[in-house]
Amino acid sequence: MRFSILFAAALLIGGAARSSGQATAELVSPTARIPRDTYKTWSLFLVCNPEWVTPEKSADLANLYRRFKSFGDAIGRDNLAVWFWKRQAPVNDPRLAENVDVARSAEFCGALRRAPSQGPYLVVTAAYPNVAAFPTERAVFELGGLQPAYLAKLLNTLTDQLLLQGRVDAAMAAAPGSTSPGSTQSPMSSLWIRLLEGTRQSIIGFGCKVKLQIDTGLLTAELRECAGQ
Amino acid sequence: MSIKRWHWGKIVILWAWGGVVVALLLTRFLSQKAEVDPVVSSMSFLGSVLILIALTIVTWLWLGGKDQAPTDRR
Repeated sequence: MRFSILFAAALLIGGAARSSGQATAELVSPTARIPRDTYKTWSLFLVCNPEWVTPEKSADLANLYRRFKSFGDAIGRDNLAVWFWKRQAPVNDPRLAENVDVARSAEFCGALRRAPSQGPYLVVTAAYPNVAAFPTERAVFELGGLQPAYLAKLLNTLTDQLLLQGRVDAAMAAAPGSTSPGSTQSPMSSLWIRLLEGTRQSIIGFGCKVKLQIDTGLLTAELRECAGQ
Repeated sequence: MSIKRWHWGKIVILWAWGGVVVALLLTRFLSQKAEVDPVVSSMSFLGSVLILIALTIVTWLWLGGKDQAPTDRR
């Protein structure tokens, strides 16, 4: 019952805190600094997609946060997992989504040149993540389109890599959801995937632009355009 | 068996089943990003396209030569 535990008591206002024996940092202020200490890696969970802080996405967000906590616990004390909040609040707050510091995450997404709409992202870097000069050696994983099973698989694999090797292997760059610059996908494969994704988006977009109305007198059915597309 | 002997109903049944399979494949294709599982996405998309092409060919062949009024059949 992680959601029943208040994390506010463990955090300092305007600062970051580590749960004892765990490698997680939940920053609760826009100016709170990411702990530097002697960590070997930093794993940033960036929720910069505004769609993810809507009530419709609250279940997905809660699931992602649970994954973050488990991930942070499992990667060991030498590796830090980071999550951005706006303020101190109980994690079982029904308006948990509103407490996510999207603006802080967006700064990092901007520095990484990543579209917020494709987020949330998980960024793993072996150098201190300074938003003004983000390390070029990093692996970026798009979590937005991942099914829960794929998300779990990805985080499990990353946990193995970080705990046992203290870094993310180049092979991980080819993992589903990864967009690391060091990707081992062939250019043709990458092009094909982009074509497929473009086709998919076009079909979805076409479906959303069509407004279909059926009026039988007794019954009226209407398909409206997709919201949030 | 000549395809030209097919009854209209057979074409309708063929398209109905084909439509169901294509709908399922497209649903699978649209449900998640291509980069999550490129192989499955590719097979879903190409499969739906190939089924539609196959059904079109079958229908085209069956209709071939039947777009004109029948001649004297005495």
